[in-house]
Amino acid sequence: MNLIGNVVGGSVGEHIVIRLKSDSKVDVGDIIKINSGNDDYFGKITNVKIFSSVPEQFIHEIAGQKLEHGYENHLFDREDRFFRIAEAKVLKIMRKNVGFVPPRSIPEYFSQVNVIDSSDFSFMQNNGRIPIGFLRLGTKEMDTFIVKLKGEELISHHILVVATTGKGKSNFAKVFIRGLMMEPNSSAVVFDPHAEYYGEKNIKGLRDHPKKSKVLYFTPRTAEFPGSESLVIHADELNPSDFMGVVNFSDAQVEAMDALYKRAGRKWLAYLINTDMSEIEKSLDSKVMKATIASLKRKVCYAMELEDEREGLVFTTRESINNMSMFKKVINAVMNSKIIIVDTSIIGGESEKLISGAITRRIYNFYRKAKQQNPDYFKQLPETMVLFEEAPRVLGKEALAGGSNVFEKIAREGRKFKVGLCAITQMPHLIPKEILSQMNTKIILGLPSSADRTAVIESAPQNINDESREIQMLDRGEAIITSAFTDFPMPVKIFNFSTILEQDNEQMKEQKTFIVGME
Amino acid sequence: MEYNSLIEFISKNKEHKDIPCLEIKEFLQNTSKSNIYAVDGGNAVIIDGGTWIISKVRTAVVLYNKNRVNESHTSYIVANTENAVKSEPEEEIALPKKIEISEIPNHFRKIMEVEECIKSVEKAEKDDIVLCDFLFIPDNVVIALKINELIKKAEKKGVVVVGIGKTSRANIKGNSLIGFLNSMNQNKKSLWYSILEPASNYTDLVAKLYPLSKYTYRINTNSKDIENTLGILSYYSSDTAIPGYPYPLIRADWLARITDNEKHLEKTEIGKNKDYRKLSMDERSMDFHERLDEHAHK
Repeated sequence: MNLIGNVVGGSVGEHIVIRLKSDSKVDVGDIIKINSGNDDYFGKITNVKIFSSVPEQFIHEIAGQKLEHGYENHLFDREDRFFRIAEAKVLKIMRKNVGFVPPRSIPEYFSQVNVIDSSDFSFMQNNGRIPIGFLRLGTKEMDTFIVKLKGEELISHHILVVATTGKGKSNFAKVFIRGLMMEPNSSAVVFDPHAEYYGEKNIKGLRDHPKKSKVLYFTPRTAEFPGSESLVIHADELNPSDFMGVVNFSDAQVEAMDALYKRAGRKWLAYLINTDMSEIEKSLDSKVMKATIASLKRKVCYAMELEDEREGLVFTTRESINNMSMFKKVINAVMNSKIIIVDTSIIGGESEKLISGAITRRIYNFYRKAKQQNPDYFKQLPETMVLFEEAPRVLGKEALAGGSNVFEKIAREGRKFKVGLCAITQMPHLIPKEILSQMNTKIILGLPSSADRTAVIESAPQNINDESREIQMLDRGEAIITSAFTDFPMPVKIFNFSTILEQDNEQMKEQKTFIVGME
Repeated sequence: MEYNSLIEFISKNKEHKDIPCLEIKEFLQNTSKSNIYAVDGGNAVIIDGGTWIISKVRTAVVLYNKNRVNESHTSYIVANTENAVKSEPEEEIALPKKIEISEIPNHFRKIMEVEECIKSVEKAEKDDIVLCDFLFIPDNVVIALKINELIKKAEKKGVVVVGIGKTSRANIKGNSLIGFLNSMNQNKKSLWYSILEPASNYTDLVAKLYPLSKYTYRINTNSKDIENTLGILSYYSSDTAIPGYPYPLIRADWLARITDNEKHLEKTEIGKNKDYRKLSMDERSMDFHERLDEHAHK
């Protein structure tokens, strides 16, 4: 333990004021312990500021003497008169012979304040299963204390990962998925718009992990990735509701889609795209105008990226014959607790939304049906996480203005069906408050924008008002995790994915060597 | 009379005075850090009953050498029109023949200050400096005797005692002495002093202790090496936050000062005494100004 100061003020529910010792090294985010009578207070530094008993105008004059006249500053008892004040929030109180109690009291004046070290973490419960990083004290990571998140409950109660560019959103996601790969009964579907999760030539990804057999990769670039599955969606697997929330349709166009679906069933899209418009108009008893059909066709083709109106990178109007549908493959993989990565890196925006929405809807409906029709079977199904980047594209106020979509539905009621979201974004303020507050775990990496910080802080499951400054200053890989499943906001240094990947591979090699040796 | 004419009146009268030229000498700062004891006192009337008074008096000593040492002593005094008694240890206070009851706490504080200086001289070693927050010019016989004792004891031990007057009404033919000296050295960025009167047991002088300071102080000292002593004082007056005044005395002032908060706490404590109620009626004879202050628009 390292004495850093004395308590000189504060109030319950706000913060404790600490006069810092002149030679103490204290950072925002440091965890402290204050002994006061029978209580040990555990807290976190939320702010550090300079202070002086010398009135401000004199301080300005002191600076002026050096600047204007070249006189060196000479101050008696400098450390008594010019010092630092820290503010800390109380996290927990350990009461002698009682145990942990909520922070409803405050330490005495002049109680000693210490920065805790690795030998003093008994107060932190660490009963999670998915390791994501080291506990962080300010800028120092404690490599003896690994922060683990609960897997199952955490997933179905949704996760929001927020950070500005370069702060480590994707690294966190990879670390978290790597943790899920170790779990026997967890599954994830990852929509990968930057082709960074599976791994490429010079980028390490989940395919390089010893448990890579758990990963199923769907990509339009199968030639580049031997063993991967082709990302092909046949038009006859889509129905009108797959397009809702993806493309902005007029009421007439929606009615036209319904009429087409009634008329041609599963082949409604092929019929719309490949049939002469006059014939369609006629077949629909002229209830739909030709112009409506034309614009519907244009919008649908655009969303499916059908270049020659028959084949696109992913979508095709060819009939699915013997091949097992991509959707079925995904559902099978989910049932078998696999990690499914869908490569959307070479696909355009609307098409990507169509793919992710269609896949997610099928998973969600599968779980809902299972719960309704076979509750025992439902209980055995793994918890499934749907991970997607640039979350406002599907959960943003603008995206939802045209109507609800499957992502919003999952956000609101997915926990009942063991399906959860892991939404990644740089701009959480674009997501409605009600949805943000459904995200019961928030992984907050650096957020310089005050609008984004406010959105996250206001919707956090714990009071993190005091952490605003820290959130602003977080460096790459540093995070605050606020969750309904942790006792307080946890400061974490997220593992570097490449490093733990190497460690996992080393460990696997050692295990193999040991087994060979045994033989 | 308007402000302008008031200022004109003062300025005209100054011009006609014939002021003798005083010799001004420069000196250098001396960074040899001698032990320096700084003594100051503070007092506050806790309750004023008109014909009686309860007051709190505190003296503080700060020793500056390698390690700073603080010490303070607190006494309470109870005085009426006839006599005055101090606490811890309880004994009667010697009073001059003519003294107002309201002046008794100040008088006793001065005694305590001089006594604290004497104690510091007793603790000090040869060439140490005992810095007092008063000039050696006594108000009355009681204090004159104490100051005399202080200077004699210091002389005997080879200790330098220095008394500083923060304010002075000393004048030459009606002109402020320090004001005049300051005007002569307006643009000088040097350390200087001017001896007013070499008395038999101490020297009376005026000195500026920091080049950029706007203040000059009247100083009394028994030092035989005035420039060396002033050089050391100058070092201790070089604190950039309050330049020109010895920092150890500022520290002693902080310790000795009786704050309004402390005064109120003391008053509350006394008020808890059940016998106090009978006496509290007397307070009405003196506290109406306070009542007015409480109602005043601030």
